[in-house]
Amino acid sequence: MFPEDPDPIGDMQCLFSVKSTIPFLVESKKFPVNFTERIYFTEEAVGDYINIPSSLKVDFEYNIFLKRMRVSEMGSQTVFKISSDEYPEMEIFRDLVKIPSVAIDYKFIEGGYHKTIFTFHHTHMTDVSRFMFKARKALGNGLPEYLGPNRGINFVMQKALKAESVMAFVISLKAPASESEEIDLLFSSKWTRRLRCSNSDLNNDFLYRIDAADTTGKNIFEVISREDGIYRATTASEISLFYSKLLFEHYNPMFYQYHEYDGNTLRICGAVSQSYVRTLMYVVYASAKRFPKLGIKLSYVAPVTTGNSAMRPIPGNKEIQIANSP
Amino acid sequence: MDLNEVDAALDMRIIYSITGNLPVAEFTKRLSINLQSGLHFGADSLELSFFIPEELAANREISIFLAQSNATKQGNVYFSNFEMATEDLHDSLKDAIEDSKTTVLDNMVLSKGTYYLSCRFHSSELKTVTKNVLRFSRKLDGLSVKYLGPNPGMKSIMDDVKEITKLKEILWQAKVPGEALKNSPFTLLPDYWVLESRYMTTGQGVSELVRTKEKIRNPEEHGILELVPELNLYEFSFGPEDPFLKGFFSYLYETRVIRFCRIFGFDGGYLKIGSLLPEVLLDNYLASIALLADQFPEWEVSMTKVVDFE
Repeated sequence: MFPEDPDPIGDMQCLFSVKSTIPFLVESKKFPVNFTERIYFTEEAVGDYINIPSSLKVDFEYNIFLKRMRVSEMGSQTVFKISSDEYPEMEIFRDLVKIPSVAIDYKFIEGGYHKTIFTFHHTHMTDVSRFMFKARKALGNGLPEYLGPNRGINFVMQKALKAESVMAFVISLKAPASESEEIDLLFSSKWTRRLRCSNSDLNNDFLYRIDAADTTGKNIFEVISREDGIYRATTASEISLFYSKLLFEHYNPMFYQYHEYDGNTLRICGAVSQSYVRTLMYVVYASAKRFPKLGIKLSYVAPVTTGNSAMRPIPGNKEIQIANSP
Repeated sequence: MDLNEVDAALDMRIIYSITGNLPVAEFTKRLSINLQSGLHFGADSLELSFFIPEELAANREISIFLAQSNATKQGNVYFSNFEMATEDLHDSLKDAIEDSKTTVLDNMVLSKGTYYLSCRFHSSELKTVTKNVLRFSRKLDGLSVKYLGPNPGMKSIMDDVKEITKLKEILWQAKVPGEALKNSPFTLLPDYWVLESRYMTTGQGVSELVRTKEKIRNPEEHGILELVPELNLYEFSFGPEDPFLKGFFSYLYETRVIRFCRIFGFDGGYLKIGSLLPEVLLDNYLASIALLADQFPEWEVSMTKVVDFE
């Protein structure tokens, strides 16, 4: 039903940690809680939505801190926004996502530090080091707390669960047909792919794991490693643009997202903050309504737990049919 | 490159203990604490360094100690450095480490007033090592041997260090440019080798143990000393001729990064460098590598591994 730990796309993983002088981060050190961040990139700015966990909201001092920081409500979320307009140091993360095989797994604040877990392919080892050295120069600090083999989704989820409750989900739909030659080409073979990062181009920047034979003659794919079957493509179907736009507008604190396509059905697997599940359901509902022929379903939702497998499905979980909901 | 390659060739371990009127000893005895320390060998000097993480400096006794010992702050850590002035101790330590060519100084710790020096060596030098122990104990009242016996292996030795300070394992590499390769001291070695630094230095030439796959032909012609023929184990010293390595050793000394398992290797045109170090010193180590990367862009310096030592 739900892959317990998908094959990583990118053999290396890094947890890069950098101390910040941004007042929110400096002051947040006082509270024994991690904050999930969603970083996004637009042409003009690099921004971060910091998700405020509800668990501490009863704490008097914490409440005063939140009021002073002017956190805002966005749908079901309480968030604080930081942007490179105000804090140019955020721009350094643009250098990270310029490395073609880098995909951001999870970004969070812990003890006043920005911490970013990202994966990459070992051919970009020198580029990743260059990014770290450049960040150190620009910000006066920064180090890899971990740099080594990709430890997969478990490692990411262990960190995410320190910040808040996390739900895993699966959305399934049929492949969109004959939208454009590009999309036809894309859906003419099996693959898995994962999102590199959130950006204003509506999240269509993906890394693919695909058989080399299936990429022949398809110039939509940029080669990352032919040997490991890793490619990059930025093509996007109408449905994926619609879905991504909705997620972006509704502030999606998505920890992780990967897609599987078996030649017939596309499954979007991911994890979100528990407080976001309602919004996610709305997004699926809106997508299903807009594209009735694709059979869009939210087919799995369950809490992520720590343990041997971070994303362990609960047996007997029923498919949740959204397409026909009111 | 295997961290255990040289370790497996060294079958013995000795732990020296030293008490007496030595730097910082009284302080650790009074506070009943353990301090990880580093010993840096110079041509004619021997420097002892201690690091104390910033957050401990709030303790009154520690802050007084830091002020009295003219500690300097680098990154998140305070360093107190002492020149080993006591002549007998200075000579004894230098001899103990330098005399026996298979000896690697693994660790030095100051525990509640007593210094412990842990070394590995090859059993072919057992006679030299025991002779030195007798010689030094006549000179130094406080010198004794806490352990002499089989080497339990680097992993077990480092597990002891881990009790005092959390460790990181780090590995990085640099692509040796063609011109630099021609002049590199490593061209004297056959294709595959692993090298372990015997001790830390103040930035100049360093004595290394090197284990090769193939035998080195006529090693003495190149100033290489054959130590254990059946294990292809040699002593190989190189000076600061190579600007890249010179830069590396001096930056590390400047930032006083204490390292364990100091390993070098060479593979497919890449110089590979690995070691274990206290987690709190990772930032200082990285600062040294970043400086090198900046100064030698054509060497394509890149970090390949940073993990908790478990």
